Amino acid sequence: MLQAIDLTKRYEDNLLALDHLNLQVKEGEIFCLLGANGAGKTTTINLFLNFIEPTSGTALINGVDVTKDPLEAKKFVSYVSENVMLYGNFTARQNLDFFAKLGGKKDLKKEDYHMYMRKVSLPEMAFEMRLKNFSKGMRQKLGITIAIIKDAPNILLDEPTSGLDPKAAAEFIKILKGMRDQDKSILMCTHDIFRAKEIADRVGIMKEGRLVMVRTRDEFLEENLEKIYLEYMQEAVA
Amino acid sequence: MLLEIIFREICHNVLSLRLHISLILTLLIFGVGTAAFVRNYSGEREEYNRWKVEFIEKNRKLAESSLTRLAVGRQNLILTPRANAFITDARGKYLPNRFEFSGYNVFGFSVRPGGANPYLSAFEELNWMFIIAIIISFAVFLFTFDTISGEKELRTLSQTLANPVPRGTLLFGKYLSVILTTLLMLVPGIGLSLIILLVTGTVAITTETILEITGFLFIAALFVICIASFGLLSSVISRSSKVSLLIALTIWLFFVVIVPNTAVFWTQSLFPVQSVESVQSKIQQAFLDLEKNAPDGSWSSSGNNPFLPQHELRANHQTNRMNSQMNIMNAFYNEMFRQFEQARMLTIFSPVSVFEYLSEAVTGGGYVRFQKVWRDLHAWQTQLLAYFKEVDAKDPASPHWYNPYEYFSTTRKGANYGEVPVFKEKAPTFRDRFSSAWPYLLITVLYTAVAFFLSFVLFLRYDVR
Amino acid sequence: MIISIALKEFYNNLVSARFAIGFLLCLVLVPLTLIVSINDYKGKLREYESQKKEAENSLQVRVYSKLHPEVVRPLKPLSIFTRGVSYNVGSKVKILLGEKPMLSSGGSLVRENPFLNAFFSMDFITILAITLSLLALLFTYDSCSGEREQGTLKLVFSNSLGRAKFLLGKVIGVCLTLLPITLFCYLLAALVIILSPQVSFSVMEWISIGVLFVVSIIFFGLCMMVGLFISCRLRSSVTSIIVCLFIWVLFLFILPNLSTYAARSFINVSSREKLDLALQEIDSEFNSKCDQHQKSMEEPPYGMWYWNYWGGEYGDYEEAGSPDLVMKYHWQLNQFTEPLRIDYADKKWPLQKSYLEELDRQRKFAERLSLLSPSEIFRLAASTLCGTDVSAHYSFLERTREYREEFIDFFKNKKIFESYQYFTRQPPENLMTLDEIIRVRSGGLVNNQQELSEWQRLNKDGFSVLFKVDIPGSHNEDYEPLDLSDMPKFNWQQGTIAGNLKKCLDKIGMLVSAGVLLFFLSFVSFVRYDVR
Repeated sequence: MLQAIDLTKRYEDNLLALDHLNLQVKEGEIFCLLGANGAGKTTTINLFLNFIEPTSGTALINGVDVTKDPLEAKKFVSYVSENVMLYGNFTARQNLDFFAKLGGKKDLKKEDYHMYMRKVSLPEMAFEMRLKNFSKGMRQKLGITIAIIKDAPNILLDEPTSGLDPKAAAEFIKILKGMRDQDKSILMCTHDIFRAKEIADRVGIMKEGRLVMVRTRDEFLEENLEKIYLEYMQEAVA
Repeated sequence: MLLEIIFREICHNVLSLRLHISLILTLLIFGVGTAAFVRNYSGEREEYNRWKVEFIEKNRKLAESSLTRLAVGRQNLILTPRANAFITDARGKYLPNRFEFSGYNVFGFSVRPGGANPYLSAFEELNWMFIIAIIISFAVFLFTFDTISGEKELRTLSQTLANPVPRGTLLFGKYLSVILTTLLMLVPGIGLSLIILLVTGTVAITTETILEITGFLFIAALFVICIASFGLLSSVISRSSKVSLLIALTIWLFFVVIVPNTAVFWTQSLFPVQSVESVQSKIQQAFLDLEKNAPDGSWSSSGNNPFLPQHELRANHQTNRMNSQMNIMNAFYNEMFRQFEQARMLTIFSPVSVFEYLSEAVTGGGYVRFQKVWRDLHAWQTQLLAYFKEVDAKDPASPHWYNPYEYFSTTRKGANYGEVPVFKEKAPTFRDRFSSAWPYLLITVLYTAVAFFLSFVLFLRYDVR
Repeated sequence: MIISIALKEFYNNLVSARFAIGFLLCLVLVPLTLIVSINDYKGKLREYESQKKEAENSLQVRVYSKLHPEVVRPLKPLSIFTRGVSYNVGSKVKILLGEKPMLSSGGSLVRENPFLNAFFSMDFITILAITLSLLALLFTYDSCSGEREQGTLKLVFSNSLGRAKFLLGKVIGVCLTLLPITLFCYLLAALVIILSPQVSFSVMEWISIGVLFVVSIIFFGLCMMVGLFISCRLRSSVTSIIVCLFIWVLFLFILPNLSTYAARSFINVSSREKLDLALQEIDSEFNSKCDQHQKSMEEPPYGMWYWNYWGGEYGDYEEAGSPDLVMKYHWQLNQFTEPLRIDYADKKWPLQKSYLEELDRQRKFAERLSLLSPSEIFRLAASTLCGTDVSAHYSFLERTREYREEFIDFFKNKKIFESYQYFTRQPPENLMTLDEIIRVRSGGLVNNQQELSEWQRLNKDGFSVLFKVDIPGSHNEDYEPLDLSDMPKFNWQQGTIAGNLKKCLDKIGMLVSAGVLLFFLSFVSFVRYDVR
């Protein structure tokens, strides 16, 4: 479970990036965080990962305060960044091997990695290919594979489908669903309303650092999510 | 369009960290280097003046006591400290700067140990040439290594070329802007240096100095243009700025470390000269032969009787000895000169070395100066000998048997020192300097042209995606 | 986890372009530099051989006053690796009664052609320092900033990994990368040396090279820490490499020259010429005292010549065939002049000593200023290990001064100044009076000085009458060189490895502590490093 309790971040230049965020992502739930650029989505993820310190409030991963005990907290979370770059000179398997070890999975063999890569439908020829030759879709798949291997109960994703073609995005979403079904708590920041509608159990809209709206699946399927989202965004412009 | 590109590039360069660091570094070294030069120069000048006074006094006494003693006395001439050594010392302290001569011959040269501390290692003086050859060349490589490959990675190159900008124009614009930025960066340093010189007043800034400074700035600009073309080449060879950097660093190391360091080895292997021992043994052999063939009485002498017939034999014998020794020595010296020139030729693979030699030519120091003094000294010695013979001819108490080493058979009268031809060290003429410089100028221009042409060709096919 | 990071780093570096280019650079530079150094060493060896020969010849003298033993410092084969001061200072010292050894002679890099001295050459250690430091910086400048830009840094830290572990893993990884390169350089160097016929290393030398290797590792470790520290302070790799490279140029190319140039310019050393003049004045005083004493003695009848008198520049002379009174006169004079000569040497010494101290002060200033550069610390430590540093040379010179004292004691104990053998090998009992000499040499044509003058006046043939009959034993060349088997020999122990190591322990300590400090500072910076 991921919990944010009154999580606030104010930068040195007085910019209020996050304003008293209260959020909970339960097991077996995908929560999509929508919002314009600069709304505070990435800041939320950075706070959960202890990349920055909160001005006030707490972020908890499986009940562990990430500020007080970051190393313990990180055992329970996987992360997929927006632009998965990884180590260009390494092959896909070598990258997986390195991150698997970091994630605590030390005894995996070559065949295991191949199996994982097949699971995410990476082409066979890519298994031993250097990462600098990967397409964006392939790299994102590798990113999620790292998360699958780590098998942490919580997953944080930052714009995972941005720049992916529809087929690759659909495949990616399918994998996420599979992970949700394994009772993982998934927090996904995205602009992609289409995918959010497709996969989210709950959706939140962030505006200027505040979580201004939360809807469950039933609720936003009834309403017109796009309209609501745009309305909020237009208000921001105004 | 070219102007826009140049303007943008210059703005970008001026705001960059590289320029700021280079500027601070060069200002620092210009300041410290010139301050140190001023101290050294005043000390050297003082020492030289003292030597000069003693030298003139000694010669005056010799001339006035007996002109023969002046003609025969072996003396050492040391070179004047150069006022323009703040531009470059041209290895003046390591090249021969002391000449042994008498009225009869110029015997040889050596390096004055001077105030050299044997416990200090050899070092480069922090003069203008050093700053430009080492620091500025490095800075230019750092300005240019990612000018193309870096922009490709930032994707701004494709952005620029998505407009109707000819590739040649872009490349040339970048090239010119780097050169202009670098030259602009030199201005404060040179200004500071000149201020220090003017304020301390140690060095008189004459017209000649100004001309030399201008000449030096011209070749410095040429050098910067040359290095910039190599920097550009390193940027265009690779699509990754990291690889470009490696190539740039390798080229710089090749120019600054590898070529100058291995010059002596290649020279000694390819163009050896005879050893000092073999020269000495040749001389000994020549002396022995002369000894064998010398008529009896060639070694007889009498201090009281200049007209002793044996004195003529002795004079001839000594003259023969001097001539045979000097023939061998001069051949050896010419070998040395040739070997040194060949060593320089071997280093033309490095524009940094070429720039060093050009600086030497412009300031009239180093080897150019040595050759000038060597020639002039020979000419003056001939003059002095002619004068001596003229005065001697007028002395009825002299048998006029000219003996290059001894006082037995030439005039014992003194002369008015004011009438004796005195050696004045003259700076190399423009012709001397240019004849030394023009091959190096051509080489620099050639390198620049080739490197830029290659860059141009490679850039035309450069993949900007 | 540290191991994973280290291995990842190692492998990543191995397949990168910088490794290949760095490797190639070493492959080219190391043999080239060594071949150049060996070439210079050959020249030094030639000089050493001829100096040794001269030293042997200096013992082939017939009389003690001409005995000026020459002491030659053995050549250090390790000077191929680092020259230190050994090529600047000479290695020959002449032992004179009249002067204590101040500096050795025969210095300056020996090249047949003095013009070639205008080309500087760098020794192996300098090139190694340049290459290793550059490679260390190239591999560490983007340790943090590069991974941050790549996006892998935040991925790594989304795992349960402490920052210290990550940093340590990085450092170990870079060490693993650079260790083989350094080892390769040394192995290549060893190969070149083994294949060179002129150079032979003993076990001591190989062990020293081993120690040098370890010090090189410490040095490049420090360079790595510099790169790491800069990477941890800056967010952009491009900025990081620019700063690293300027630091590199400053410490390796500018500071060494700056420190020496500044020392030469701002630390005054009185001129050698002035010292020589002052010493000459003391010598003149000595000479005038001798003259005075000589005048106070009764002059012997010289006749009009000296037989076979050869004088030297140090007041030494040898004669044979002179009249007995002349010989006795010189014998008496020596007993005054020679001990006085030694006293005057002691008088000269304070001046020489203060000149040496000035030289040392200048050198110390240059050395201290250069300690700002890690490569200079490394070079100084290397030259101490190879025995080519200043302190080794100072101890050699000290030993020559002690030897001179032993030499003087030998003379005193054997009462050589009071012996005729100081200046002639003609046995005192064989000495003849002036008249006897004239009579015998002329074959009886003239019997004494008076008759000789008369003969010369009448015959105007100079001295040829005195060459009719030769007196055996009246020429210097008639006698064999002295038997010097009882003379003390010069011996000098070159420093041991342990001794040398102890001497440079402070410099090694500097490298280590700077490295540790920088690592600590890197860690402190990295703890707050923004990984996004």
